[in-house]
Amino acid sequence: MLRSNTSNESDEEIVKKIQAGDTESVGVLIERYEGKIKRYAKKFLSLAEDIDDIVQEIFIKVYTNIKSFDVDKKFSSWIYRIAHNELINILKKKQKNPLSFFDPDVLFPHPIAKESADGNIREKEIRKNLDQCLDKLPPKYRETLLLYYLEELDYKEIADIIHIPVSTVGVRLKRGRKLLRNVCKNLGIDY
Amino acid sequence: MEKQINSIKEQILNEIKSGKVKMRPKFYFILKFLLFGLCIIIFFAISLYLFSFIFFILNINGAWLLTGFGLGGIKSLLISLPWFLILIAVILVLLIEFFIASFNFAYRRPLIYSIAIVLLFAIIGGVLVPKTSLHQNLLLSAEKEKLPIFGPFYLNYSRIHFPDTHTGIVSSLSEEVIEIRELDGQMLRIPILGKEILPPNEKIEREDIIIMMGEKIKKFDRNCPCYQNSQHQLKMK
Repeated sequence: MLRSNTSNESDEEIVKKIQAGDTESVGVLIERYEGKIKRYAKKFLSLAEDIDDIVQEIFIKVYTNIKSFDVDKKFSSWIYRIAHNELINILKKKQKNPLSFFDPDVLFPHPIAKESADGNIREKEIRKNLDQCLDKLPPKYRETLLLYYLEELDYKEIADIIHIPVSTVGVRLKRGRKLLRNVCKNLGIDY
Repeated sequence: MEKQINSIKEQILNEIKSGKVKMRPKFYFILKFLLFGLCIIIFFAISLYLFSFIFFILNINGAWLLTGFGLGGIKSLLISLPWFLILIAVILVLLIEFFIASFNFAYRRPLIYSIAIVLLFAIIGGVLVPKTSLHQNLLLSAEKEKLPIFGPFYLNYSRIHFPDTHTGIVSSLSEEVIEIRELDGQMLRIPILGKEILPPNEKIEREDIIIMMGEKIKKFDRNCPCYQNSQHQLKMK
């Protein structure tokens, strides 16, 4: 469970207080997640400009829907899910079919690839390249790589955020890494 | 950076305090969940009804017997299947899947599994429901013109015509020929060319309802002004 600098309470305990009417605790959650959500939104949308309005809208949605959150579950997955929905809606306005309705990877089974198959050095390298090449990848691979390497979430959490099978997370990571390598090479970046 | 964080936090807290942004009550989410569940139940009930109706009309029309006529029978069955009803039933299954896919037990696994489970339940239900008297009673009501709205639906589908197949009641039979009266009253004479045309282990008697497959040839006969067919097979209905 995540612990804050300003409070020793877990996210879920803070949510419980907010649900009971302690609106001041909303500030603690914003402090904990603003940076992460901002980074996620900025990278996923590939935006250079300020995204404060988008982040604010996400936190407002978190607050208005907070009573639907089950405190026995993980808050971080829930807030990322809300952010994901908001960002997908923005992408839909910007481009047609950012995530196709029919995706065979979601429909059919795949063998589950092992997590953390790459070594630490390899992961660092991927993280470094993600910063430079991520915006050239299709949204579905961009988001999965972003959540895994930059937000450091595990397969199950990513599956819960994007609502895809756990095995599909592995497939997208594998293909995403391959695409990333090609994109970086085309841009003349060492990979 | 710190200033920006405070700015977003303060703006949201101000909006909450001023009442511009409010928490939705728990009741809202319970109601939403119940409506969600209700949609799934309604769509499942309709798809179950459609699948059971499809199996019922195929049963009463003797459609399964067509598979015994070989490739020609299977072709005839495929052409005459109620594809429109099947399409609606499949769309309903996909709609159920659309609702179910938001639950973690469904989306964490490949969607083909949950689609297959929904389809399996609908088909098993569809096979079991016709074993009750539900559709039979509704059809009887339709025939007595006592079934509003659904009456024409039952009457239309209760008589599916399969290409090159003829259903009728045996009116007379001998070793050389069988005569049947089709449902529209037309007489049909079937010359028996060989024992292989008759269903094995089945003895045809007068008043039996039989289904026959073969090309219908109009042929005037002095003794029986009726249609006659060739290359036929017979199946008991």
